[in-house]
Amino acid sequence: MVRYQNGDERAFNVLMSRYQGRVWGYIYRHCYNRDRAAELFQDSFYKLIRAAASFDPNRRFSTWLFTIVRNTLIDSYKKRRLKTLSMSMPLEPGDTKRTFGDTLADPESADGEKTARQKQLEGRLQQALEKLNPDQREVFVLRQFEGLPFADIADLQGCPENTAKTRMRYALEALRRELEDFA
Amino acid sequence: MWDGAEAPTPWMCLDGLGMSERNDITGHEPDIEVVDYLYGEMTPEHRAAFERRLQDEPALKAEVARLQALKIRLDGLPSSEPPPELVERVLAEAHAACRRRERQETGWLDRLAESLRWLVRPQAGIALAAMLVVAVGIYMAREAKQPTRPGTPEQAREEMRPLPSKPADEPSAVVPALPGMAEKGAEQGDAGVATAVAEGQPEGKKEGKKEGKREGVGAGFAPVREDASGADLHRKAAGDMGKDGKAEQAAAEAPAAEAGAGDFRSTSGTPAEAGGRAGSGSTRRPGCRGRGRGAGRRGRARGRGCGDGRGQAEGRCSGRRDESGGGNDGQWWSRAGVGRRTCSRRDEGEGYRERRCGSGRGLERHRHAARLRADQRT
Repeated sequence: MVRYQNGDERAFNVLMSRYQGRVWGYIYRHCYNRDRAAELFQDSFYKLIRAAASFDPNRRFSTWLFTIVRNTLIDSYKKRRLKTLSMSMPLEPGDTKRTFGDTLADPESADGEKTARQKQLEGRLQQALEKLNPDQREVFVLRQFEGLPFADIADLQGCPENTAKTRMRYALEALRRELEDFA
Repeated sequence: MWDGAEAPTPWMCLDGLGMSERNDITGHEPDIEVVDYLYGEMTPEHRAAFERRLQDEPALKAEVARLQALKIRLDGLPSSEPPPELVERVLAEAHAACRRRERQETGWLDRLAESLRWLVRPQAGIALAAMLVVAVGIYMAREAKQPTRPGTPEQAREEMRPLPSKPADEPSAVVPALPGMAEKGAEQGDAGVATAVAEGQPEGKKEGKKEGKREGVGAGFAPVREDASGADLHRKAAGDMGKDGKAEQAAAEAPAAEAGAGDFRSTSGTPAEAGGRAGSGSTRRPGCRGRGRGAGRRGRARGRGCGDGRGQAEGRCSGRRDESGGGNDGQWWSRAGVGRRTCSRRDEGEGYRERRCGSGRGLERHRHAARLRADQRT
């Protein structure tokens, strides 16, 4: 990031390749909507680009990045007053056959590489995540799927590290109950 | 262990779920060491100690095993990637922003060069040369206007002869010249006396007389120089005193010439640059206001904005009246005011300021006075 601050355009390519999947996963697992996730993904990175000059090199980049993404998510929630989508919601208004749950199993279902069980698990996971407290869900997604250390998550959430671990512990316990037949 | 997890968070507010963080139905304190163990956030020593504990606690071991199985299942889920076109768009924006930033950082030099580029055009050179010529011309014209003609005292007296009185309809000072004042003043040169008396300020009257006389005596009948110098002295005194808030004293001591200056200043009540310089403390003296207004009216006729102080004018007004008595209706004595107005200039031996301050007549007179002063110095 410092290199990008100093005018190295290619440095941003490295950043993107390193973090795009994690940011995408974090956003996607919050909204479970590809279009919306794409919009939030773009907004987040645009914000990051605009704020690049203000990045403090003494701070961890991942924490800074996820703080921006998280704030973007919160802002979008505030703006749209949207809650996470329900699995039982119809995919299109009036569409009684397909629900969001059907699409969530695999955002890239077209590639056909994933097994039906994985799709099922993904769908069930989303349902289970919906039931979680938002903070617990956030900790779980960031730690489980995005690999952020608990210290960074705590920094992001503005709470002690042990609180983040406690949230994770509750999230795991709840998910284990929800996904018992998969485990 | 449970450290403030119930605290409200943005997510809770937004989702409105209000669900408790503590959604563990068992209600027991969670063992966060399990989390550290599962996600490898333990030191080797800590990990070894935890594994020993697992051996001792089968229930904990079973729970860890279940969670580990779940984690393995979840780890197997493929991670999704953003659409490539989306990534391309973001990268394009990042590169564009980088270039914009570079342009901003180096752009000011380009902009400066661009803004100065016009200087190399021939029209610009011609314009600059023309401006230079005009500036030199103005300077030389000013130099030519400097009083250079030496004058004898007789010439000066002749030139300093009072101008005709102002028209009756012209607004004048509050206090009219007293009968016989002109003659008396002409003889004594202490116009300030008359004004002070007329204004009915006992202290000022007394002091004014004293000062005025001194001035007048010194001036004699070729009072231009003497008056001027006396005016200088008193102007200074009045100014200083006025600054100190000794308005009354200042006013009383202000001689005619000084008062004349005040006359100018107290013109229209609009702020004037010189207002503060003239010992405006005299505004605190209520009794002077009437005079100040009178003087102001007069000043207004000359179009000078003076300022804040009617009172400011008052001391000088009375003085001016003195001078009026001594000289004429104060019109040409206002040159003294002009002189006061131009005190700094006066020291330089030129009377330009009065052109702006005073009437044309006053200007002429004062110009001679300044010339004579300059002669005297030399």
